[in-house]
Amino acid sequence: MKLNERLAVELPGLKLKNPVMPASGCFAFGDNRYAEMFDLNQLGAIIIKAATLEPRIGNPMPRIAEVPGGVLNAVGLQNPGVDVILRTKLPALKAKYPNLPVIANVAGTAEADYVETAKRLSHSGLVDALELNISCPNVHRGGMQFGTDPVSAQNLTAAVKTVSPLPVYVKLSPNVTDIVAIARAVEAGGADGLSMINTLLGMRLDLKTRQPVLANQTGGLSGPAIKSIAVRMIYQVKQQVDLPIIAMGGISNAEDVLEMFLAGASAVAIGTAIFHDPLIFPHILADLPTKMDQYQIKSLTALQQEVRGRINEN
Amino acid sequence: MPSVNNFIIQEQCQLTADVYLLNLKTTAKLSGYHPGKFVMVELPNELFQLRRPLAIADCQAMQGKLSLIYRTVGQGTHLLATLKPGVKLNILGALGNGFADQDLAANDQVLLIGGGTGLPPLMFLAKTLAQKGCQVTTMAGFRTRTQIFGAKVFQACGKFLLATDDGTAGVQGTVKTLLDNYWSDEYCHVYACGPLGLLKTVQQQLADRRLPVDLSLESRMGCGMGACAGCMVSVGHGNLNQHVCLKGPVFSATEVKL
Repeated sequence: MKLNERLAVELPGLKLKNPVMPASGCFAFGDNRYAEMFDLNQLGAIIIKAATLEPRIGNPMPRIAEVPGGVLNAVGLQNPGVDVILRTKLPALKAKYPNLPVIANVAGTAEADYVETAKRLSHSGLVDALELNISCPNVHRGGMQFGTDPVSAQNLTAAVKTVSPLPVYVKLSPNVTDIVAIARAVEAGGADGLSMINTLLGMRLDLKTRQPVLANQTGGLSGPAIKSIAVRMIYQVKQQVDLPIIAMGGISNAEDVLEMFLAGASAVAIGTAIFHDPLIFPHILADLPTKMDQYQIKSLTALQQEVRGRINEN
Repeated sequence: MPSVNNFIIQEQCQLTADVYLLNLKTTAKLSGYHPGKFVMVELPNELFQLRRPLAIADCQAMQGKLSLIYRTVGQGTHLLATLKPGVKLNILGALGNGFADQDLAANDQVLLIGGGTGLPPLMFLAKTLAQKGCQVTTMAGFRTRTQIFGAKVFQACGKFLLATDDGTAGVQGTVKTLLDNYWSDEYCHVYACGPLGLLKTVQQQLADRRLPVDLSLESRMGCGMGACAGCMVSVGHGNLNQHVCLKGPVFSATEVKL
């Protein structure tokens, strides 16, 4: 089987030559220095940094702290606002990489913000799909209030779907007791897919200063430390909800990618690992076929069918 | 263009109680390793997901030689201090804008101002400017005599003026004391690197002088590549509008808000 056939995946609105993409907030708008080190055309797609209706300055510094096997961040959805993104960031990205599928992450504090931001992005012709961010833990009323209540999550999804012709992937928060209930709710709201998981709310205190390390006090935990939680949540959701899932949470090598597919993923996003290995995307894409050989995986779609078959048996 | 290269530790020297010098060597071709730029060092332990941003203390690109000087602050730098010669380090560099010196010619007088771990990038700058024929004066501040490092390098490159908070070496006081007593109108470019207090002092003291004053900022960083927005700083009329890693770490004293 040809390499491109082995790695290709298809999701609503997204025909991807491979399933690997940078996670929102970890790759800016593609306008970073990683783009000097490898050709972004290698990516399956790109998920851009969250767009909000108005510009956001974000949280005060420090915004980043390290924990064993992971990172706490509290950037706070800093972005220049949807209009600047549409006027400068996305056209620049499209001009350089016209064939790279773009998923726009949409955040807000009220339903009306989400709807208006989604509307503007959807009708720009610059975006292939939306990722609805109802899970940012770093902003007071930064969306997580929608992601932790099934009714709000369903209503918001439905409201965005009425204004957007694009497929909508809802990014779920792991900071809930029952993530399956939220996944069911957004499915009922008309979501085309899920994106999971966002970061877990965490905190570090400094013994010397007696103060929180992050200016925002708490932050979102990402990295290998949360991978097993992501696998568990994706697995649980996939047993109950028949929506394609873009998986994220601590993926840092080709085997992690395959493990996420085994849990029920249809594509994967990588965040924290980019900071560790600036060439993580070319490295994973080069390793995937070898690892697939090792585990007798003919193609990613074959693996998806195998997983689906096992769920149907149960 | 930044690149990732494997370096081998040639030497690890303890300079003071908590400051270490790493001499590294690579077979790779190094380009863009200029004074004021920085590197992101991967720690050889998976528990540490983030690379550590460290200034370039010296570099002989043709020989693949790189020197880094760091203070042990947290678990990562403490781990770094335990590494022995022969250990491999993966380093991403060179990053940031670096110090601009295009305006300088031989015999121009330049002033470097630094304190603590702000001094390493100035060591590389002092060497480079001295080679260019500039007359380099360095004003350095330390808390106490036992914390002094780098003096020989600066002395070899020009004039070295020293202040300690407790007066155990050099003048008793801070770099402000040195600026008050030893300022010369002959200086045509000032470069400073050090703790926030030192940078603020330099910014205030030299605000009315008509010469370029460049401040090199320290910051926590996630990526060093302009992707994570973990190191924003306010420049000009903006609010947290620039990445230290991308547009800095060197900023004009007239523009950066400290």
